[in-house]
Amino acid sequence: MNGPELFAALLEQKPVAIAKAISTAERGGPDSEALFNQLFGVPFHSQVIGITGPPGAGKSTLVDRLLEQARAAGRRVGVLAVDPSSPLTGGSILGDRVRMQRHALDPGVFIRSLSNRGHLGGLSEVTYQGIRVLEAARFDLVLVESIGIGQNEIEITRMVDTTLLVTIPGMGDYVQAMKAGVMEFGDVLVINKCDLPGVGQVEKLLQEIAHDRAAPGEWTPPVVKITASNGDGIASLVEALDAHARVAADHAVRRRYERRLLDEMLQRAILNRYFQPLVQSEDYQALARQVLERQRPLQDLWSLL
Amino acid sequence: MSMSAPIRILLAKMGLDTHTIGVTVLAKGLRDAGFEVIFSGFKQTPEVVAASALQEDVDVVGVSSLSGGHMRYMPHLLELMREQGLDDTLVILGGVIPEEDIEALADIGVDRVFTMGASMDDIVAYIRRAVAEKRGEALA
Repeated sequence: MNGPELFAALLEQKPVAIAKAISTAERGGPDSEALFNQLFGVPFHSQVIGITGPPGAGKSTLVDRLLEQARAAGRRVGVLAVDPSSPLTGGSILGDRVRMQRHALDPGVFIRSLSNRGHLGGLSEVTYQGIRVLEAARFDLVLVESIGIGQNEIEITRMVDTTLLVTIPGMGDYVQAMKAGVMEFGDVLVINKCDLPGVGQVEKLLQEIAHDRAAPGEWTPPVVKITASNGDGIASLVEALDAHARVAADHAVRRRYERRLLDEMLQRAILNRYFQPLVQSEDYQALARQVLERQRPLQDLWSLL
Repeated sequence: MSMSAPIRILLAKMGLDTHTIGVTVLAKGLRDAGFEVIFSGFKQTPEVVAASALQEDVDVVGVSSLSGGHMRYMPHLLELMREQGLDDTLVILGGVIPEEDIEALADIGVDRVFTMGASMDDIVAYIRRAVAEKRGEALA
């Protein structure tokens, strides 16, 4: 199954088509581009939430709880669980779905693990394409779970409608370190494992961050205390997420991301069409040699344009 | 690393088997060989394993079994996978598998059985070769 047949099956919400479409995006290349062309025409309608935070903060368990709540409300949910791959071997262990397996047989739920394969365009474009695949399959809610380390993290916050940031008591150092980073993008700040000691300290830090960001007419990130393992606080969290969904109903963050994506796609196309032939041309090879040997001045380079 | 897409494998344990060390060691070994290893969790049903294999679009389903039961749940798993159109997915089984079960397992569609003492290198080499064959790729 590929091309138009795959896309048609995707619109019919067939699980096998959803799975194959995400694989197509992961592989990259012409098939992926053709699929993305079709996906681009699909209007925004999913509520897309990115969940990020340090390893061990309980992100997968939280996603499991959000799945439970959304399903109780009759909403269909797609999950992308993103884990890093080894830069040495490219291999990875993707274990997030273990915590969500009780939903595996629910036809209103689709869970897919993604690994950071480090191909052209990086994880970012594959993840965004994955979001669009789930949106094409008309999931009401799309949850993207990702580890809160490194540059990829900021990327995730740029392609979702709502960023949910999870920390736990005792993670004050992480919060401090991330203050000028992913914290600036958190729309809802969550303290998980509130049955552990030390809630007050991390809560104070998060309140400070929320306070610093408060501005007239702007969304002030709420701080929500939960214990995902027993479900405490999940109802308040869902309320906070829905409140943010209302202010983010214009999908402004995703629109901005797509605008940037268009620029990047254009840049890549220009590189392929104009830059590559130019650097490989004999004119350029000869000129470069002469410039490097100081036989001609550097500004002669511009004679090629 | 070869140019082709990484091999995706779902590792599963079904029934009440609680011996989890083998599958954990295997996961690490396969990751180090460059595979994308997806854990489906322990004590799962064949239904959950088949659904996970479909959603994750894996090349391989690897089942670990150390306390019997494989003759009960493997036929069920393979039947469910066939129903969902996963005929092309490689299915391997490893662990404590009596010699006399191996032929019957092959008959129901288990591609390969690895018994106690199988080396990581052999498992990796087998999966690479079998997946390349299924994908129609030359082995790097």
